[in-house]
Amino acid sequence: MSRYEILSPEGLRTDGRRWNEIRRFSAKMATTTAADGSSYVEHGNTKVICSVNGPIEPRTANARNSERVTITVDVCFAAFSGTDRKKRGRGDKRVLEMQSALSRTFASTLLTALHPRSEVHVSLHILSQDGSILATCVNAATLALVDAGVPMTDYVTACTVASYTNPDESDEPLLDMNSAEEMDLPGITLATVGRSDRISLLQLETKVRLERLEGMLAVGLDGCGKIRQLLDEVVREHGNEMARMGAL
Amino acid sequence: MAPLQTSQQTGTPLSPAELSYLHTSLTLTPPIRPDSRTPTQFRPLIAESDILPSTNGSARMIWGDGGECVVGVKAEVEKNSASSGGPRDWVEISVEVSGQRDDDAFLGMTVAESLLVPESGVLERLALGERFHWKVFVDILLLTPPLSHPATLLTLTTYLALRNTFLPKLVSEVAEDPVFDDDWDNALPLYPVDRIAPPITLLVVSVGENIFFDPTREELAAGDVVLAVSICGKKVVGVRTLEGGGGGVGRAVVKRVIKESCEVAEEVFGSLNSVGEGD
Repeated sequence: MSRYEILSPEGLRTDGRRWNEIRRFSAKMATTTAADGSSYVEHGNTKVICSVNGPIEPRTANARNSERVTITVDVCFAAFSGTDRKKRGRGDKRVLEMQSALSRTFASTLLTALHPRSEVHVSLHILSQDGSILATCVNAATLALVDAGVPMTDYVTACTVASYTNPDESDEPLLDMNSAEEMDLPGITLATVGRSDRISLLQLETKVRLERLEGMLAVGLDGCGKIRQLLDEVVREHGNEMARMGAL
Repeated sequence: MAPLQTSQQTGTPLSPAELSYLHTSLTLTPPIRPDSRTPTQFRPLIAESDILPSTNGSARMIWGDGGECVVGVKAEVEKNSASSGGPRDWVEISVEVSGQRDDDAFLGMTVAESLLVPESGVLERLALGERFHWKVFVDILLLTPPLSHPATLLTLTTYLALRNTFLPKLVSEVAEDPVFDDDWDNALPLYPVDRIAPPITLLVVSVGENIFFDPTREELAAGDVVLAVSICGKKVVGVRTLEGGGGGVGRAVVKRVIKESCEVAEEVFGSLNSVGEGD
């Protein structure tokens, strides 16, 4: 049992949210002019900067595919992002896993056949970590890809769900974990494409009871829908802003 | 088509004719810069401070040409040990350039050696009683491959982050293990307002008799010599040439560079100190 309660008897979590509420979400598009597309996403205290370059000439030979575009992802944890200073090298297992998960997710959603023999390079910088890092990376990459104008079928949105066990052994899914909840509870990260309930990424790193998974997925899909709406608002607002400036 | 001449450091593809045109317009009196700035004027930039809650101090700067830099300062308590290099090791600086495999040691060195200026009193503020001290990690993240030389961007962002760095207040006695005040409002600044501020490095390019601050990469390519001038408070603490250019530079020009750098730096300090006051 941890020192503090994750979910109070009144149904409030440590940061005052209810089970189905996400943290403060704010996002910006086109934050830098140096890349083709860029975005900055703040989800609670998790902050991610993303920039996309592409489609470009492949920089390495193994990124060249005559059938479709190759998506390469670089994830970089800033040394000051966590509670303690920690430098993660490029060969870090967790970083490599995130990179491959992201590139596989987007390979299935982008219209990769339109740009054969080229590369789309996504670079993600995590400035501050407070849970749901992979999910925030997915959302940031989606925004940056939209900004870069890479053809894609729909938004890819992601969120996390934890499974909390009540004192009476009943379970309760909690949407959008922060780092404290991530440490104590089993949880999943899932990403969906557009409005459909089709899951394109699902990551489960901890043990969880099989019968709980169904409920967690349902809550997660709902959360992804919420995030999609938020991303859509950001994109529309950015589009209107561009139109006002006469860029379109 | 004219053969392209690429300057090694900046990678600007300018034809000899273009370079010559630029060089001529910069040697005029008064000089004409391609973006019609005055010689001491900087490009517009966006600066934010205190952006990351998990650091002791942080800053972010976005340059007009797309250069972006984030600096996070973190402090940890460490035991004094005889084996380490003493107070010199209490500040550690690392520069990470996005998309590059190796950390750029040269850039980090430029910042580090000018940071520990004697008499600034930083080391005294890092000491915690007799047996412990703060170890300060300054992590510089260069997010976009810089189009012009990143020294100015790096040091200005580092300056901003260090000015906003706070360390928890020590409440224990000198001989005890350190205990800190829980109240973040009582935290002490690493660089108090009335003490010597952290140094900054300005790039100056000289073309003929004229000198220019904050050069763009085209101006860097056309310049006779590029100097990096480090300024701390009202004094110049270091000058180095980054690019020798064609024929070197006269003594009088270096003298002018140093004199004008002090004046420009004062203005830069003034505007950086006002960052974050608006909100």
